[in-house]
Amino acid sequence: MAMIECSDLLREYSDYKDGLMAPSRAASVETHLRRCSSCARYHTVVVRGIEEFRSLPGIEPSSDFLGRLQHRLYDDQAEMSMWARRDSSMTSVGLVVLLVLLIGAVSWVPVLQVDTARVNTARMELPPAVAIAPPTPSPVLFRAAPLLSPSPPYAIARPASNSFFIGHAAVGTHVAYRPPPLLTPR
Amino acid sequence: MALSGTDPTGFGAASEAKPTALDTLDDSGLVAAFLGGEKRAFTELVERYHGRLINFVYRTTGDRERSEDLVQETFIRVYRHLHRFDQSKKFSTWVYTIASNLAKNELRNRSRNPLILFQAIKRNWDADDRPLEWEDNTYRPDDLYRKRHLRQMVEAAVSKLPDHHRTVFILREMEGKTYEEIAEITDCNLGTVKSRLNRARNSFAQIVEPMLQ
Repeated sequence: MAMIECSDLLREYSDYKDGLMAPSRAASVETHLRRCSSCARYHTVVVRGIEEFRSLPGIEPSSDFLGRLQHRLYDDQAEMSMWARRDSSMTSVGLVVLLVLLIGAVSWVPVLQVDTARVNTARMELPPAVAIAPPTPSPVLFRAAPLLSPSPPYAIARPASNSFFIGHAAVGTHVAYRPPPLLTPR
Repeated sequence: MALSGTDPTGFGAASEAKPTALDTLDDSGLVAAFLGGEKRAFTELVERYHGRLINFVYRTTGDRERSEDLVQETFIRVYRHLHRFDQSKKFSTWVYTIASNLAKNELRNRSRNPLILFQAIKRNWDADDRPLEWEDNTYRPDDLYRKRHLRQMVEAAVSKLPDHHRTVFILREMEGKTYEEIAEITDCNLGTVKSRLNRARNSFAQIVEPMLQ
């Protein structure tokens, strides 16, 4: 008979208590229990404690338990029937929508189709080519302005009496101008 | 509860009116009868298991009121899915599995709200809420005190076990389930069941030992 230690008993105790241990091993455990007061005490406490636990009064179900369960089953079955009907109606609606989309898609096919054969053989009439020159800034003719008066913050181009300046004037730009000397007429 | 001719669930069977044939059927026979159209067989299954399941869930969660709700939910799920139940398996294992999972979910949800957990445990362990028990007149007063205190210690010891240890402990010690059944109910292998049961017994013994001098 193999000797066992306290640690062995603790590890294998459930097998022993529940009758799952090999007979020879169980005999070794019983021998150890006879010799070891600590393990014997442990065994006693577990057995008596579990006896007390099993003897605890159980709780009785409430008197209306079955009635309440019946109501809940009613509600549950009614809800499941409602969902089943909703699922089937949703399926029908979904099928109809799918069918409509399919018909719509099929009806657009002729519009989107390009008759390639006709394109290849047809002579396309193109309009005559017209060369268009890029826009050039328009010339601006104005007379030379007199000396600028200091008060205005901006210069105003005013034509002088007998002098001309040809230049470009962009919209919104300030023009500060110093008039050239007067030309003497020939 | 009177039989109802318009009862779509077929559930409302009075105990006096149901045929005695249902009493004699085992669980698999009742399941087959129900699936064959005998709705009152479901009533018989409920009456067989609702008391045990309520106590199992109560010992697992510590909340008596909630335990009845959870057992009702268990039977609703049984009613919904009985047509898919594998009749080669044991009905009791299946129904305990459902109840155990609901109890586990309840504990998990409760762990997220410690206040609810505290209130539930306090409510159930309050001495004023305990049912009256007839005392044994042959006991001396100190013996009665020790006996009552021992019971409280035993209940407290079980409630203090970790959730997964407590479930295995209750299924084995209170419900008498085999290791294989416990493994199936808790979705663990046999080695894990043995390990958890061993640890549960060890923890249990450490708590109750002082009261067993």
